[in-house]
Amino acid sequence: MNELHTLTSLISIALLMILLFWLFPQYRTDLFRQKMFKLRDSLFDEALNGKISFNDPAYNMLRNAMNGFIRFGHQLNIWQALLFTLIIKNNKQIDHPFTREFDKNTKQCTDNQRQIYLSYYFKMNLYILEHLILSSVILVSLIVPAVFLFLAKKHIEKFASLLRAQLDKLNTVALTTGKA
Amino acid sequence: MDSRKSKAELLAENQSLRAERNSAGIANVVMYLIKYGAFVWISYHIYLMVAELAGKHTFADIGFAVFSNLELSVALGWWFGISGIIYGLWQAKLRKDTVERLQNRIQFLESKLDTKRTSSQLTPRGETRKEDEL
Repeated sequence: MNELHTLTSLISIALLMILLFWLFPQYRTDLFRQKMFKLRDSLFDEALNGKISFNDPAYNMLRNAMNGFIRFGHQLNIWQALLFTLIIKNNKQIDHPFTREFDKNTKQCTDNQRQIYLSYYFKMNLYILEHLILSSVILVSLIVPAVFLFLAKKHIEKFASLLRAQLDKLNTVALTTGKA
Repeated sequence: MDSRKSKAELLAENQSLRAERNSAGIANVVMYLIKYGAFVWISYHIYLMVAELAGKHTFADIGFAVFSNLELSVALGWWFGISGIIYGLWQAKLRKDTVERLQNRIQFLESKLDTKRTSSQLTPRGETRKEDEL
């Protein structure tokens, strides 16, 4: 019945792949869109409260960029982003046009308004980076253990101090055994 | 303020859009190859297993043997995993139903406050439109 074990293992792998290649990316896309919607709504509320204006070019620019990310969020992944960077690497004409236009648009605003726009711009980029890293199954499977190891290393002394009394007993036993 | 773009700006925009489409196209082809390639590989091995057993047993025997020889832990694992997936899909459907129910009202009210309000162009259920799928 060795073949049957292999068969059940293959079915398990197939089910796992459905989860990793279809359901997980769908979830990550929905999560990314949800975050962008929340950010867009929050920006709308800032304008509603009069802190910024619906007619500011910077407001419309940010809102349109968020709309673009929501609309094409399903295509955004780390491999596509890396390829895109490679393709435009040597193209001098595409020289940060977004940043340039955003700076130009926010120059017309007050300092407070500029700070608001910059904070939304920063959050938008943060969500994009988070999505690029965490939507990749390969990167997640590398990063999660790495973060776990980093945290474990950072807190190992704290953890060890909690267990010092128990460790002390073990050390005593080892010492006694070693002496014998 | 003159909002018209210069020829160089339009050219740069056009080139970045083309680069984005090309990179998305290549990345998608590679992803599809990996995803469906893995399924072809698994199907091929399942076929080999079944072919191996075919001379000795009937298909009903094989099906029965798979389920009767399942260890309790494996069966529980499958049951837990499949139930979890179904639960997740139900929750996703419920969320999409809520989005569909609320989005008209939100759009209507926001458009009254911001007459130039722009949209993300998703479907009323918050899904990708057919024409935007690659």
